[in-house]
Amino acid sequence: MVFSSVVFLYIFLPIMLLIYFIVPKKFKNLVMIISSFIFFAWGEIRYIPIMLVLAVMDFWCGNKINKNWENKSKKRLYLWLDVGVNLLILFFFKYADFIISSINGITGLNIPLLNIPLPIGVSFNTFQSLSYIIDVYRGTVKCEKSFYNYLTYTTLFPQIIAGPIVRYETVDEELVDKKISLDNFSLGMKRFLIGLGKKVLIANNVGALWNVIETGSYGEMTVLLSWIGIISFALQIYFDFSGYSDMAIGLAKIFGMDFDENFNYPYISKSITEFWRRWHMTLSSWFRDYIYIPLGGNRKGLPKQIRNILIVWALTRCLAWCILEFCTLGLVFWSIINYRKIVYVKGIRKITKNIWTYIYNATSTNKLGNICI
Amino acid sequence: MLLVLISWVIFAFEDLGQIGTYLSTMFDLNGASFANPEAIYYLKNYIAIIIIGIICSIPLMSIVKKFRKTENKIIKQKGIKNEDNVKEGQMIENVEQKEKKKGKEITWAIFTSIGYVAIIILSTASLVNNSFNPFLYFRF
Repeated sequence: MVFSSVVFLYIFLPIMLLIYFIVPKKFKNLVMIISSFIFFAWGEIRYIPIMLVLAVMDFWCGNKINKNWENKSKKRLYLWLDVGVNLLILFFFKYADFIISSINGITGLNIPLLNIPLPIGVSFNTFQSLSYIIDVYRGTVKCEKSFYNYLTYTTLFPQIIAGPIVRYETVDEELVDKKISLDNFSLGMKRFLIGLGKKVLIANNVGALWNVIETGSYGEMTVLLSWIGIISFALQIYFDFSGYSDMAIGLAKIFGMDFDENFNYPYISKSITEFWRRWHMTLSSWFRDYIYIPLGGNRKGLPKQIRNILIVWALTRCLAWCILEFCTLGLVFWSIINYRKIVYVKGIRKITKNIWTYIYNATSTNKLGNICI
Repeated sequence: MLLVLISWVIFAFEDLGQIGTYLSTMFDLNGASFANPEAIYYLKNYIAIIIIGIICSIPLMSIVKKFRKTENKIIKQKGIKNEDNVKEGQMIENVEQKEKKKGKEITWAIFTSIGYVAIIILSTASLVNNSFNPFLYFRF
């Protein structure tokens, strides 16, 4: 099921909300879980058992880590067990066919392809599970004692399709005690509607234009048309993606939870570094906190920093490649940024910076204000 | 921003050749003509939505607020210079201003609610119409 469909907007959501607000506090999570399952099952039912198994696994490992807090090797064992299983499943879905076909190619065997479609949400689910288990291992969050609450966290349907990535620490209190109020309801509703508008009214329309231009059903390609095309594509991606995030954040607010923001007007960025800080913020911070910094980040000298960048780059290539296709791109940006930091082309940077500051100042509101008055 | 657009081209096509062709067309390197009737037609039909999109992707509200703030500051500075000792008048003015502000808030609320209702109606209409509604996240 998708947010921008009549079924979701006029059947699923109203019924779900009604039940959600009627039932006593204790059962609200149950309503969430059941509706999440319905939400997933609408598209395909096969992923639900896997999701359940994974949830049990994370929960169990989390508790084991907690129990063996003093025993470092055991602790680490459970961490890697859980991380391993999670990644295995992700890789299975993403690369099983790819691996089979390469084996076929090399050995001349003829193993039939599995042709498994990637279940929706598997990547975001993995990201969430990993953030939970790593945080428990580090001791930055307490491990969840109730499976009921943990299941609510992993299945949470608003964000599972297109983010934002919700870390356990952002919602741990709200899993137990939701901040349901009329204010939050109306705020959430507004946010949801803005997201819906972004997706349906803007993204779909410019997307239709891009579709025409991309497939080449316009006749001869011209300079003007290519620019219109790429601008419409940029707008489509931004409004589609951020619209989904807005809808997810809005829904969460209605349910009494706060998600992290995912976009902060990326297109006003003055540099690529800034763009990447404003685009899909929860994913970039995920990679920063769970991979780049644990590896030593940029504090351990140049060779290690280059190594770390390469590792993250390779990982995102495999992990996020299809996951967040949008992000391969980001990683390219990211390597450019870091490359720039390393090589530091001072002159170029200064010049571009000056130009941008000049343009920015010339158009900035302060100046305009002065001119007007 | 230009770099971002170029990278979207790279991202949009899977085929390297296509990327090359598209980019060279963008920068007028392969002798494609600048515009033709089709291009103008699409431009005319979609310019409104593109402009709306561009406007919506910048933080308009905060810019307006910033602008207002500087304006107010300047007005205030002028005001303080001109009428230093008219306290009573200022009080009355304050009350008036408050009422004005309240009125403004109410109109703003009505205005935005109309906006939201419009979003609901328009979105529903275009969804029911079964127009182009792609789902981009199959590969996630």
